[in-house]
Amino acid sequence: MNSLNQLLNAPKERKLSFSLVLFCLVLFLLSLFIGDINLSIINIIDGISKGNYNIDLVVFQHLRLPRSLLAIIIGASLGLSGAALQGLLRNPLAEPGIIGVSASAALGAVLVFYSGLSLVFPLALPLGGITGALLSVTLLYLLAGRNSSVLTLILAGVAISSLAGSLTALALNLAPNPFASMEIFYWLMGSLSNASMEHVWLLLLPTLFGWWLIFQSRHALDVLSLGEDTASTLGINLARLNKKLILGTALCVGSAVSVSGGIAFVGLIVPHLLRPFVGQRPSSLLFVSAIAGATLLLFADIMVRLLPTQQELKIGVLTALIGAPFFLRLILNSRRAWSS
Amino acid sequence: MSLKVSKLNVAVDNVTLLKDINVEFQAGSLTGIIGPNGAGKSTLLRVLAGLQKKQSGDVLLDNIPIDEIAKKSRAQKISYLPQTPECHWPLTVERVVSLGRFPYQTTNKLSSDDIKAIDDACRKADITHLIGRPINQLSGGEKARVMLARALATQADILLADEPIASLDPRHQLEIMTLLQSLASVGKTVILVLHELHFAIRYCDRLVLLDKGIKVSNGEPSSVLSTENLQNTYAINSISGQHQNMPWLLPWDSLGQK
Repeated sequence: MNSLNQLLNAPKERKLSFSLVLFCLVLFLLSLFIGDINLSIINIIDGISKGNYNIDLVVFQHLRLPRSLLAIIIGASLGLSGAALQGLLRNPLAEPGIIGVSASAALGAVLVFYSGLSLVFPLALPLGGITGALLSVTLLYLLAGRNSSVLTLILAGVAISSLAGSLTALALNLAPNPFASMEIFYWLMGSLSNASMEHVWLLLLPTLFGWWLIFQSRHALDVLSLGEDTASTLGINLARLNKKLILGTALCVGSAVSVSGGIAFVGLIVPHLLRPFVGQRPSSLLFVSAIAGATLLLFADIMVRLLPTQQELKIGVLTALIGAPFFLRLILNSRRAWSS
Repeated sequence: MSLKVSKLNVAVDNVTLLKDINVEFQAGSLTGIIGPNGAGKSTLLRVLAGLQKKQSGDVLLDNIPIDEIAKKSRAQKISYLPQTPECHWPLTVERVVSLGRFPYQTTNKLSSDDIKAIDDACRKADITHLIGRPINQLSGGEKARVMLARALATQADILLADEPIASLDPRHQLEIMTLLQSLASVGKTVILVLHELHFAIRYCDRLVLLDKGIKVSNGEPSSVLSTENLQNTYAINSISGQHQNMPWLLPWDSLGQK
């Protein structure tokens, strides 16, 4: 019985969480000092303490710091929502990018952008993203939530993605001036390079609320692995759980996408790699996925700054280049594992 | 605790699944719900578990309608094991069993009572040697026993199980039936959907025979499993006898279409 207690109550993931947090912090500090301009710590400290605005301090405060903070917030949202969606839909292939949540959030943000609403009222941008995400997750749940077959989920995701994609293309197509559509087009690729502190503040509230909603449901996700019927007889209020997770995901992914554009596959790769280290438990997966998502995005953002490309590579392009082959491998594996 | 069904009607998409069912399940008894395919056995069990919407009628737990009991406290009283239990992630055996304690948990940590219940359930379902293994690596019968242990871990007063022995080998079928009988003998209300008539007559205290959504008979196993009932509902003839002072029964001839 003692061994049973140890097996069940010893938190396997504590060490993992600790090392991930540490790694994330190191990358965060590194990311502040990597880029086209070499910053001197002495100048920055000097600038802060004496209140004189030297160029190093300006770059640090207005470019580097918000960019790194956004990488952490958005990466955490993507990793967390990937893990949460996988738990909710009981499907290892669920991911905001793949199943069309990011594309729908992008559509929502593009519409706000396009209508000029974001100029009058800055919060409209994340709200547009959140609304788009909310509609798509709800639609997805209606299409594929009841039965957890991989095929239904992916097909529903393809349908939602292409619908959102075509509407976004329509908006681009009808854009009154080519520069506006160019701007939207680049933004859609996913990037943190235009980050500002204003973005961080815009994002913070809806994101924190989304995280809170998801974390609240973590234990119920474990029970949900037994299927909806059993979970219901164990006392889970399914309707409430679904609403919480759908809203939570929409809040953090929607607002993330509205700032950074679509950054795909982070929510797929991260939970998948970590699952074996937390005993496959959906509840334990949430926190580590959030931290690892933040770490991964920080890392990718450092990479795009370091890679010697003529134009800075968009971070969404980089994650897609790494993520897509990974996704293919995952489909092949899960086909083998679940076809029996 | 007793569970009582009165004037129950269930229909889905205008197809009647259960019609005017009245039956009472007594504490301390093992009741088998039997009947041919499509009789409505699983539907009745799902109604008892609060999973199936009903058109009319009541399910009363100690005279309180189950819909009026808060979900979590109902989960502490009624435990349900579905026909084909699923586990979507390759969790370890002990983790799966521990989910049966969810109705009692307020934090993510399991209390010593929880651990005791899990340990006890694993022993009863004979799966202690499987602890530590991922559930997807187990055989069908081993998995079925893990799922039973999950249902037992709740230590609810009422256990509902849909064909709990369908995928087990004979030894484990016998052991699980003995276990369920012993649960009833210490006061639990155990209700099973069963296809195995030889187990129904030997282990159950009472049987409820359903056919096409209607209760045909209800009572002592040997009277419910009368020649006439078996011919009219199952369309079979059986052979029967006594061994060690207990009745046995074996389906023998099909009578073809009813």
